[in-house]
Amino acid sequence: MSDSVMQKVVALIAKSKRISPQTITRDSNLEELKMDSLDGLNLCFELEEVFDLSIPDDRARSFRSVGQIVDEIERLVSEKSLKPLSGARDDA
Amino acid sequence: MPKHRVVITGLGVIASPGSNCSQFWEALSRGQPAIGPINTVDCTQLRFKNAAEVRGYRTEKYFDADQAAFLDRFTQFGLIAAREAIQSAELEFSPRICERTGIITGSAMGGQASEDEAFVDLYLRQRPRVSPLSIPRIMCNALASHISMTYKITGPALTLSTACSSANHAIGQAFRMVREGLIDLAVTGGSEAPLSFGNLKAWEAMRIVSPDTCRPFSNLRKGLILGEGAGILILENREQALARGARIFGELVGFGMSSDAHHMTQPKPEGAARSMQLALEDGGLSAEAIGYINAHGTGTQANDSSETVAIRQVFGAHADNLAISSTKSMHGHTLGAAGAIEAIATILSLKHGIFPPTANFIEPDPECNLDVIPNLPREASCEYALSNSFAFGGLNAVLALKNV
Repeated sequence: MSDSVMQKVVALIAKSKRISPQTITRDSNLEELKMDSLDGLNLCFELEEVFDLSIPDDRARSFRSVGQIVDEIERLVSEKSLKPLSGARDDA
Repeated sequence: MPKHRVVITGLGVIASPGSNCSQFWEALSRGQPAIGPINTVDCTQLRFKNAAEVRGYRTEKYFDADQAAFLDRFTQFGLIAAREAIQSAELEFSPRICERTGIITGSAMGGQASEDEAFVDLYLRQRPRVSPLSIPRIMCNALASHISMTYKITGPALTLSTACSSANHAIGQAFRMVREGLIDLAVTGGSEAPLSFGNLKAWEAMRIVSPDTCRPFSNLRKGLILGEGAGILILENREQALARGARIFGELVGFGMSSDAHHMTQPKPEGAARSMQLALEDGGLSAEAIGYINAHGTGTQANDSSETVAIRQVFGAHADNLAISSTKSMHGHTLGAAGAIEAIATILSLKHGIFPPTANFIEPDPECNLDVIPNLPREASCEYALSNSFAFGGLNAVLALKNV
């Protein structure tokens, strides 16, 4: 699962910033990748769509590196797999 | 030299702290926030649940059913504030005065609830048509048009939409039109009713709405709190106001505007600083003349630290002498109405000699190291104050006000 989340995050950043996926690693800093706050919001939006989950605001605001995003998505995916199916996506 | 001095002879407000100026000032001068759970929209599917709503608002208290059919909530608020402002100015609208009066309003979002309702009809209920009143209710200039029709005002009427700076831009334009003698009188301000489900979801996606409350300049701030309401001011050529023996609440002495040319959501301190500097220059004021600033102070990480830098750029060492507060901590961020509601808060502060606090303050943020009047109102007076508005998209508008 880790690889697929990492691949997706890298693919989305590469597409958004028009850079080669090879230049993006787990340790890549978002600022170095020239991701500004709106790029970050769009990335979160696309990840929520792809993985059908909701990223809490405080987590979204704390992302500084690619690895932090991957870890959070993995946490939310595994949390979701433990929960019974439900329409509610309220994490406030 | 400007042709005329411009005084404020009428004030009207409806917002979460109160449905008229006296209720509003009572709450602000006590430092009492009016933020709580949203009642008008089902928040089950939202990450935030709180806003600064006009609680217990009932349309029928203010409008009959025939009138209300044409009025979105944002126009209703605007008309209520206009009625109070015009009454407080004790104006009698003769045909001559009506021709020489302008109406300049601001709104960022227009009739959000009406738009939501129309789209629910179309997309969800699969209805083949929407109400024919949808467009007249939704359009941002609905308030300006309704004020014109209600009071038979036939001078220039227009609406500005510059997100969170809308009302300050509107008041600034009205100010210049009166100052230059294009009109003798202006009904100006802003109104907003942004609490529709669709719009709240859009704000949720921005990830800048606080899950609890609004804590401007505090290091534990988590974002803004949306608010609704309206503020209307009557601006008048000073000679005319004196000649008719009008009560004068304050004087509008300067207006500055600038744009950041930088980013849609990230503020640039230099842009905000330039608009404050231009407001000072426009009013012929030195930085040291200012005693109080009603800050834009949204409670977001980005605004409050950027505004601090901007204030320090303009005021230098005098920045440490300034009393500064964000009344958004009490009435929320009313977007296109914010400038008007906060200009009214500023005028009432000068008039009463009480600076309202920045409420909900927990502990200082080293990046916001100004005197932000934490939590408790302060008895103090000064002659001049600024009221700041800085919009998404980097559009800045600042008013300079004088106590009289």
